Amino acid sequence: MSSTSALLNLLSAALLIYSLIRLHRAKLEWDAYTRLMLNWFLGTLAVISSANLLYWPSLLSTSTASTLDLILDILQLLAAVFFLIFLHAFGQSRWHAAVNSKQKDYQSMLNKLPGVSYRSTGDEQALLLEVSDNVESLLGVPAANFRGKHRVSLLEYMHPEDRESMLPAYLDCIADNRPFTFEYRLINPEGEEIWVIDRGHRVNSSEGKHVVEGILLNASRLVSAEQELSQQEEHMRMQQKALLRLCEFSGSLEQAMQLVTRIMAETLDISRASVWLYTQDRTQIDCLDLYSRESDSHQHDLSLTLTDYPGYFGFMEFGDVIAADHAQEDERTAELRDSYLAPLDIQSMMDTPLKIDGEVRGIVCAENQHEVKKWSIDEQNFARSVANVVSLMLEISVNRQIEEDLRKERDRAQSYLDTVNVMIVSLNNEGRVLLVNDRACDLMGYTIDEIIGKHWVSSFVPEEERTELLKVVSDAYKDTGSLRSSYENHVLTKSGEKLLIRWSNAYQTNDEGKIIGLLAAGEDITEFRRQREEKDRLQDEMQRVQKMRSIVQLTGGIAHDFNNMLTSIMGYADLAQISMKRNAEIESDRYLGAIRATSKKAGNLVSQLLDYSRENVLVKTPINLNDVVRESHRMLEAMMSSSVQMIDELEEDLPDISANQAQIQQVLVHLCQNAKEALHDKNATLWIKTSVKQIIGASCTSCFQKTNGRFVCLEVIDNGVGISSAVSAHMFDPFTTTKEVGEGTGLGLSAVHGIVHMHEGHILVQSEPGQLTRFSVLLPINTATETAHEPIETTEIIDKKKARREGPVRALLVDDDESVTRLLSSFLQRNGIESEVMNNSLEALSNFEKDSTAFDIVITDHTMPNMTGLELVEKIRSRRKDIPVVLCSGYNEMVNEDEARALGVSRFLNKPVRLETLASVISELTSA
Amino acid sequence: MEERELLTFLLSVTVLLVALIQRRTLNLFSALRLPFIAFCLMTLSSLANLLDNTISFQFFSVAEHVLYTLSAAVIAYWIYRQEDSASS
Repeated sequence: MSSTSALLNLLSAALLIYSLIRLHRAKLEWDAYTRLMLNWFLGTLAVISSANLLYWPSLLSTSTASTLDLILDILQLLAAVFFLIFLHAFGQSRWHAAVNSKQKDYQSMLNKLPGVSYRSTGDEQALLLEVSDNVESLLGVPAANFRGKHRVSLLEYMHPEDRESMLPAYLDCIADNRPFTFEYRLINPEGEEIWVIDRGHRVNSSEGKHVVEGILLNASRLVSAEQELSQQEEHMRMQQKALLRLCEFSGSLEQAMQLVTRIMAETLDISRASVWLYTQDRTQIDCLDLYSRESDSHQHDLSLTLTDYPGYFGFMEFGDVIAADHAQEDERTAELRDSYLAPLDIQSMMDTPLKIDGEVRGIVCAENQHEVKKWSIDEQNFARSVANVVSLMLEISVNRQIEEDLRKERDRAQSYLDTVNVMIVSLNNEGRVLLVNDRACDLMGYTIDEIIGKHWVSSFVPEEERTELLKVVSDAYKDTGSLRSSYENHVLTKSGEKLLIRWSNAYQTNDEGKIIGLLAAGEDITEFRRQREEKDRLQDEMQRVQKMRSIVQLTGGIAHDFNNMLTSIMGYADLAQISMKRNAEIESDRYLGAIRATSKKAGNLVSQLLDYSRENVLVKTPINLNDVVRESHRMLEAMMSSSVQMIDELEEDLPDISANQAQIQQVLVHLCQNAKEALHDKNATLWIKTSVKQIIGASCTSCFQKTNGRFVCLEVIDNGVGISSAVSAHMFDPFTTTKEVGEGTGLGLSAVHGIVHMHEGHILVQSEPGQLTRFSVLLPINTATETAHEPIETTEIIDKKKARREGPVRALLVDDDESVTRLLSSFLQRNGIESEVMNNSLEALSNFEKDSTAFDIVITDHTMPNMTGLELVEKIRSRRKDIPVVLCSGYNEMVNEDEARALGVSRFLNKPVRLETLASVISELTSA
Repeated sequence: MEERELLTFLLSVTVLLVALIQRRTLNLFSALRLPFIAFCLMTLSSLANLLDNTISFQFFSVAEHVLYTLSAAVIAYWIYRQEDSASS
């Protein structure tokens, strides 16, 4: 060996020895085995290096050197082996260190989990094999207690009840290899129950056994929260049930308040509950009801003055709940402490304002005595709900009171409507019935329900009248001024009968004045109309009977006059005949004059009879009442007893009246006849007076109507026995008579009443027994200007006649009575008028048509066979309009003057026609 | 060539192969890198010892001892480092 090699070996040996020493001193975290292998490795190398020094400077023998070589080679081999073992040991130790580190990390992580992770045997013992450290926080038992040799079962800490119920299911899940989740109670060493949720599943251990790995979660808070939630739900349910009971209550307000306070006290589990309401002037608050659970009693005679507790009521005005747990200390309720809270030992109170229409009207008060109660949000909400319900109850109560008042008012109005004897019907804008009274129902035979809501016109008006009535109603809505205040129409009853109703109508309007319907009051005039028609019929009959009676009476008197006249005529005729035989012309002429005068009187008398016998056709003409009296005088004289003195007192220049002369005569006759019956004394006197009277506020004795104005008055006054008040009250009623049965009809004054009122006049009667009886008939003055009925045609005729007038006048004379035509023809001929006589109207027309210009005038009778005089006139007029026509008639029932004039008759003459009158008329019509 | 020297060399190479096979472990625990280098130097020293009998005795004999000394130095350095890391 060279010295260099020896030095290198020496250095190596020193380094290795240094390393061994350092290794020995160093505090390495190596296990002993690793350290030992490394020591041996380094020691072997150190030995080898040291031994190599023995080769320098070749001191050893060959054999020794050979032995040393062998030893060194063996040491070299050992060093390699030691190094290999060292590597392995080092790796193992580091591996275990890493595993332990990882295990610590996992354990730390498990401990940070919210639950306790565990591993247990998968059998019925459930022995804990592993458990995380935080088991101590769950059970209060250190984890080390579960990691000893003596294994602990989780079942030991389980609540016995839960263990019994859970274990079978737990074993089933393990057997079926299903994950499980159980909720059960553990009991810690202090005996406290701990709710846990156990979630786990089966796994196979490294030994191939079934073990369970799971985690235990502390569910105590969750369960507690669930229980609290459940309790809250129960409270809510109770509150809802209580509110439902309140809402469903339908008794009186007092009962409702008692129910409110009781339910509130029971639901909130408090001592007292009450409802308070402000007075109208809001100066105090009165208790509607206060319920005390201790005494189980209600009281309501309490009140608080607002000025005594301004702060408290001020807070109430904010409108929110005052929930004072410590009511006596709370600033909102402290004012009540001395006078209210402390004496009653009220510790907590919760006041909820009652709001109606947004205004605080009262308080719902919940109070707890003797101990403090914390008002939860739910309880405050419940109190608000109760306050809302009470507000509704109060509103409903007020509305009920209003409805009750309205119902009473409606019933009262209905009773008023039902008591009146007219139908009351109210219709809306659609024409449907809104209201109807009992009278209407009675008349129509329906019930109220059968009428209300029906369309009135469609349902209760006869079909033939519906269209017109609908138009009337429609017009009434279109034009508010067009409502007919009075209207008559028929109404159908349930039995189909038609009632004639006279309606008085009015609009119904709302507060804004808008029309919302019609109100109609109807009077059943069916019977009235029937009676009136019957009355009219009876009056007509009465008038006819009365007229006949008058005629009969007149006949008796007139026959005497006629006989006298005939006697006179016949006598004078005989004398004239004798005188003519003697050629005593002067005597003959005197006798004939007497005949003529007597005949004239007879003609007048007949004329009066004809006038009186005319039917009651009211054709009014301007007449003078004095003329009527004068013309009737003779007839009345004849009717009266000879012992009765008749005195006419007629006012001069009496205005005309518009009247039917025959009927006015009839009135006069009836009144005189009536007077005659009362005149029995020797000094019996009958006055007939005419005058003009101004009447102010007098009542008509027959129609009782107030009368005003200027009238022509016809008075019939007698000094007979007078009329008693009993008779005077009904004297204008038909068949009222003071005469014996069979002597009179009792229709006279009824006829007078009818006629006078048909002439728009009135009757005033003044009479008392033993005094003058005065019947004053007031007839309206004819104010129309009297104009001559001179037809234009006549003027034209005269003008044309003027133009062509030459030679004698030629007349066409038509009458079916030959004696009349002969007489008239002779008369006309003697007056220089040529006449062509025709006794047949058809022949007359034919003759006229042959040459219509051949005649200057036509004189015709009216009543003729084949063709009446009027028909003839009409035909003649169609041929020639300018020819004057004179129509003569002896019976005015067939034609009246106005009608005749309208058909073209120039002049109308009543038969018997006086020849002088005829001559005058012809002269007038044909003159220049 | 001595059989014992060859055997020693082969054994050292075998250890190296084993270490290489377990290099993942060696890489994972970087603390063994220096001992591994030292063992490699020692194997090279063994190889030099094996060659000095056949090729160039002088050179390989010196190389053998130099490599061996380097190996001892690396180990000393490694031990020194281990002690430092442990104390820190």
